[in-house]
This record gives sequence, C-alpha cells and structure tokens, in this order.
Amino acid sequence: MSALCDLRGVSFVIPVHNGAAHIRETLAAIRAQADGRPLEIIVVDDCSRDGSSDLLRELAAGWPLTIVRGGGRGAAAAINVGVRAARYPVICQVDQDVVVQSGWMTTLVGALADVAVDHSGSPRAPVAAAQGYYVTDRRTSLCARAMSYDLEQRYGAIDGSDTGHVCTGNAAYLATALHQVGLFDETFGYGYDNDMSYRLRAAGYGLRFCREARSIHRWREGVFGYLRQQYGFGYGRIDLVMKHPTRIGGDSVSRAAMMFHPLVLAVALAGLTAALLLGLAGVPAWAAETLAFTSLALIGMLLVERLAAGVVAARRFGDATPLVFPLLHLWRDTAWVLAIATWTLRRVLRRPPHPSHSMWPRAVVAPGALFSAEREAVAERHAARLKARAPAARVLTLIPAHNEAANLASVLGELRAARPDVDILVVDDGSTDQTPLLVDGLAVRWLRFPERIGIGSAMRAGLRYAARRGYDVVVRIDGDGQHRPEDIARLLVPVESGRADVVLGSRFADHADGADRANAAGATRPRGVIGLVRRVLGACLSALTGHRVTDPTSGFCVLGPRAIRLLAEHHPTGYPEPELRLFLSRNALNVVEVPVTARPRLRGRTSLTPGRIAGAAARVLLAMLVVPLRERIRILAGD
Amino acid sequence: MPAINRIQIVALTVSVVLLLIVLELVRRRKITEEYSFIWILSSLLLLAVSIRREILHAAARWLGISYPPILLVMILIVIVFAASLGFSIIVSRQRQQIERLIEETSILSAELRDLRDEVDRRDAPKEPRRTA
Repeated sequence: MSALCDLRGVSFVIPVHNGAAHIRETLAAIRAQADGRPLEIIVVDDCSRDGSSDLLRELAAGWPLTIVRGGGRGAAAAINVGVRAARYPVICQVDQDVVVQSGWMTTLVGALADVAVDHSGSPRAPVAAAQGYYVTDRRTSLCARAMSYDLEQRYGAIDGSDTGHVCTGNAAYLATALHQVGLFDETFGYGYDNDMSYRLRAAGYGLRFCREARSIHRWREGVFGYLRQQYGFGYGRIDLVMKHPTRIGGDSVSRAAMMFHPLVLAVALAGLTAALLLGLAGVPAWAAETLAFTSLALIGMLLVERLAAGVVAARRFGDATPLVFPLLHLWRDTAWVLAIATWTLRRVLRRPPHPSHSMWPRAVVAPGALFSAEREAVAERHAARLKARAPAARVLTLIPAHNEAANLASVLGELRAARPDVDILVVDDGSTDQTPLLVDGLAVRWLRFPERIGIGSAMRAGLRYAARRGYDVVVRIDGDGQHRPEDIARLLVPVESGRADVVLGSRFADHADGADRANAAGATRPRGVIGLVRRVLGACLSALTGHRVTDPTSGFCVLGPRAIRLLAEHHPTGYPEPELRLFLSRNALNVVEVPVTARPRLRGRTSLTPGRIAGAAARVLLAMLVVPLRERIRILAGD
Repeated sequence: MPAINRIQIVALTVSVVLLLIVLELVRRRKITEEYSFIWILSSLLLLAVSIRREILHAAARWLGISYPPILLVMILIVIVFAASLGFSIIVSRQRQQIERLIEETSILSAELRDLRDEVDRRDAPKEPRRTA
C-alpha cells in the first residue's frame, strides 16, 4: 500500500498510427498537464504512413518526447510497447485523438492514490485504473457529436465513482497492476480495454470513474469512418464475450440493452430474409407475412427505444443532435450484425480470426485516382529543379476567368497595388471575348483552356501549375472585381500560422472582433429568395461539416500546402464552392472562415441564370448525399 | 400455323441481321470490341428467343405474364436501359479525361512559354524584355 501513496512520476503512453491530423494538439494538451511531478511522454509510432513520423520527429526536437517504434501489430500491442518502456509508477494512456483538458492528470492520479475506507469502515480495494470523462465538442460534425452524446449518456448511467470498465485512451493505470495481470491482450482489435478492466477487477483491484477529468475525443468524422469503427467494436465485443462468457450482459459503460440491440436486429434481419425465401418457395402467404411483420415490428421497437433515448439525451444536453440516434444506431447495429456474421462465418470455416483494428490505415487512395506515386515523384523532382533554378515567390494569386475582359485589367491593377509581393496566375477558361489577348499583354502568368470546361478544372490546372512551380500558398480571387485585394492579408494569417489548411472569405460571417467591425459596413445580407436559399444551404452545410458555414457560395479563399496537393487532383467541378466545403470536411482539412467585404461585380453580367442556379442546386443536393460517403483521399506527402 | 411461322422467320432474320451488322461494325473498327459486347449478347438473346419460342412462353408463365410478347418488350427495355447506363458511364469518364487533357495542355503550353522566355532572355541579355 505504501507504493500507492507516493505516486511521484507519471508516464504518458500515446500510440500513434496515421495521426498527423490531431497529434500536435493532443501532445500540446498533455504538456500543459505538468503539475510539478516528474513527467515523461512516450509516443509509440506504429508504422504511420501519413507523415506522422516526420511530424513527431519535428516535435521531439523542441519537446521532451520519447519516440518508440511499434511493430504495426495493432493498438493493444503498441500500448504494451509503451508500457514496457515507461519508467514511472503511473501510466496515463491517452489516444492520439484525445485532447485532455486542464487538471485531467492531477485528478486521475489523485483517484489512483485514493485508499480511503468506504462507508462501512473497511478499506476499499486499491485502485488500479481511473478513467476520465469525454465531453462533447459542439463544433464537430453531426456524426461525431451524436456519438459523443451517446457516450456521455452512457457515462451518465454510471452511479458514483466505482465502475466496472475503464475505457482506454482516456485513462490512468498503475504500472504495477498492469504488469501483474500481464499487460493488454494483443489478440484484440477493439475491446482490449474491457478485457483489461475485467482482469484487474478479478485480481482484486478497484476501478474509478472521474467526471472531473475531462477530455475531448476527436471522433472520426463521417458516416463511413463511424461504421468501420463500429464494425471493429462489434468484432472486438464477440471476442470479449468468448473470453469472458459471464460478461455477455455488458458492463457499466456498455449496458445490457446495448448488447441486446444487435442481437435483436440480427434476429429481425434473419426473419426478413427467411420470410422472403419462404415467400419465393411458395409456402402459404400468411406464414411468410407473419414472419415479415414480426421482424419489422422488432426493428420498429428498436427504433422507438432509440428515439426515446435520443429525446432524453436531447433534453439533457439542450441540443437536437441526439435525435439522430434511431438512424445512426440502426446503422451501428447493422455494422455489429455484419461483424457477428463475419466472426461466425470464419469460425464455421475454421479460418483464423480477423479482428478489425483501431490503428489500421485510416485513409486510402481514392479508387480510380489518376495519380500514381511514380508520377508524383516525377512531378516533385520537377518542382525541386524549378525551385533550385529560381526560388519562386511563396504566394500565388489565382484568378479563374471566363469572359472578364471588362474587369480583369482593373482587378489586376488593384491587386498589384495592394500586394506587389505576390505572383499572379490567370486561368482563362475558354473565353470568347478579348480576355486572352488582354492577359497576354498584362505581364502575368497565365493558362488558357481552348474550350470552356468549368471553374473546377481551372482551379485544378492552376493549383497543379502552382505546385510544380513550388508555391506554398495559393489565393483565389474572382476576376469580376467583387473581392478586395486588401482582404488578402487577413485571409493569409491562419494559413501562415499553420492554424488552417484553408481559409474562406465570408461575406456574411459575424465580425467577432471589434477591429473588423468597420469592414462589415459594406456587407449587406441578401434578402428574398436568393438570401433564403443561401441561408438554408449554409445551415445544411454547417450540419454536415460540423463547422459554421455562413457563406456557402464564396469563391474568395486561401489554400495552404496540404489543400493545394489535395485540390490539384480532386477539386470539385461544376458550381464547386458549396461542394468544396463538403469535400474539405470529408478529407479532414482545417477550414477557417474570415469575414470579408464584397462589392458588386464591377462591369458586365454574372453568368448565373435561373436555369444554371437550379442545376447548381441539384448538384449541391446530390453532393450532400454522396460526398460524405466517398472514401477519404490520402494526401501525398510533400517535399 | 402459317402466320406464326412467318413472324418467326421475320424475327429470326432481324436478329441475324443485327448480329451481322454488329460484327461488321467491329470488323471495320467502327465500334471497339469493349463496347460491342452488349450488342452481340443482346442479338444472341433475341436469336435464341426467336428460334425457340418455348423459352419466351416458359419465362412468361414463370413470371405470371399472360401475354408472352410483352416479355420481349420488357427484355428490350432492360437492354436499352443497360446500354444507356453504360454510355453514361463512358461519357462521364471521357469528360473527365478531356478535362484532364485540357488542364495538362494548358499547363504544358504555359511551361513552354516560360522556357522560351528564359531562352530568349539568355540569348539576348541586353535587350530588355517583358517578363512573364
């Protein structure tokens, strides 16, 4: 017991696999935990392929990090590697996408050291593990928020501070206890934390739940990532139940009802299939119909139960998001049923088990991507050569233009006067007026399309040209003069400080800081039908991307290096601005809105006609359905 | 049953002629092989149905269609649907290829222009020249 009372040092163990998106934030939050006791941060780099390794090395140069190589055998094995390397008596195990809040470590270590007596006067069991509380970040995507609320709701059902299960990734363990029960079971893809909790309990230890130790989980965004993760949970859960048969009723975090759901759905789906087959085989219709109706009734009951849970959660958190529980959890249960079916099938066919790992590559190359690694290498060598020959300016202003002869000269003049330091590239999208002649005489870089093929293509060509020329940042402004070059400086700030991959100029964003208030004078919110459409579109995009979208059709933007690499190949086409928001969110780029003041176009008419607007609206609706379901695109590492 | 025989002969002729036309178009390279298969398969299907009308009758009975020729119309509609869906895919792919080609040619011509300017500058260093 004496060892428990002087828990002096703390070792953080963070397994990392393709975690470049969040790891900086995660590690910064951990560093801020320091409360005077000895601290070490052990990062287990488990065969990342997204540039995390480089990022970690870069961070380790300035921070006290210990980087250990993992064997690429999954999360449980990676954590074990970290635990073995740890020096101190307390192991704080934090996942790569968990951002701990202030006081997290102090609270959990306090819980581990707590050897008080319970109300009957007998000493309580020594505490081997303590778990923190995930709070919901309201700025993330709908799916991530719903998942987080669901977990908070389940945590809410835990009574007092004793718990039967400590979730990994947000927990502190006693190193001696972990070694005593033989570390994490590496055969699990998911569920190794439940397994550890059960074994610690069996060894006579207590587990604590600390609501004050708060952290934010950056859940996977998008429905596809969610389903893949749920499939993994389902598979891990069966492995878990096979190893601990008495735990079929769940534990304090995963209640019996949650375990029951996929089973009921499996029965209902089997019933529906049987009814269909029986109906085709020609048994009396009433038999097949009864079976079908019973199955549908079961599914209906599940939905009603989830809706009730959603309403309770929505009232508790004051947010309508949990109302999607019925739909989301029907998907979740389907993923679990799939996992159960796969597990059973492999068992029957005597194939080795195939758990889904949380630390598998999280992103893949889009099928049909026209870009091979080889071509990328050639392009990069080319860019390096160009760079070596003439160090290019860092920032390029890209102006897509179609029949803008009337405005282009004044736009370029203004731009030059405001930003003499940036280079300019005009992409002429098959203009039929004087634009090509004009551009040739204006001493700017230019690309010309022989036919009009659209702004998306103009962007792709311009970005590819910029990437090959070695530009790091691209600013897009329109050729009609509605964007003011003076705003560029403010838009560049978040990209240059590394806070954002993409900055979008919004004509209708709230001017939060007083300094910008003067700029708001010129911006008037559009009224009437157009204004309504824009607001509805903005609301839909906000819900789908999890970020506030105030100006879904703005073309004024600044793109950082990651965005340039992604969009040079995959910029959406058609009427691309709203779809671009969805696409960036799907591929996990950081997007920031900055308020700007727009003017009406200088001269000439807009190319928008009622017919084109209707076509664009249809495309955007389709994009809302399809883009979140597409696979995430792997962004190739830069030079 | 002369009427039935006559329609059978007409159907047979039409499907054989269709098959021959498709094969001839492939031979003359007016249709590339990959796009010809759907037409060859459908004319073979038509041929089979016109040789053995029992196939049509049996299929209609199984589906519960009382008037077998309707089944023929249904099959044709399905074939036309499949074909036009296939063409939509092909057209979309070609649109993407054309977009990419135009993008690449525009970049190439810009790079060529840059190179020419550079060469000109190197050849005639004294003569001041507008830089691109």
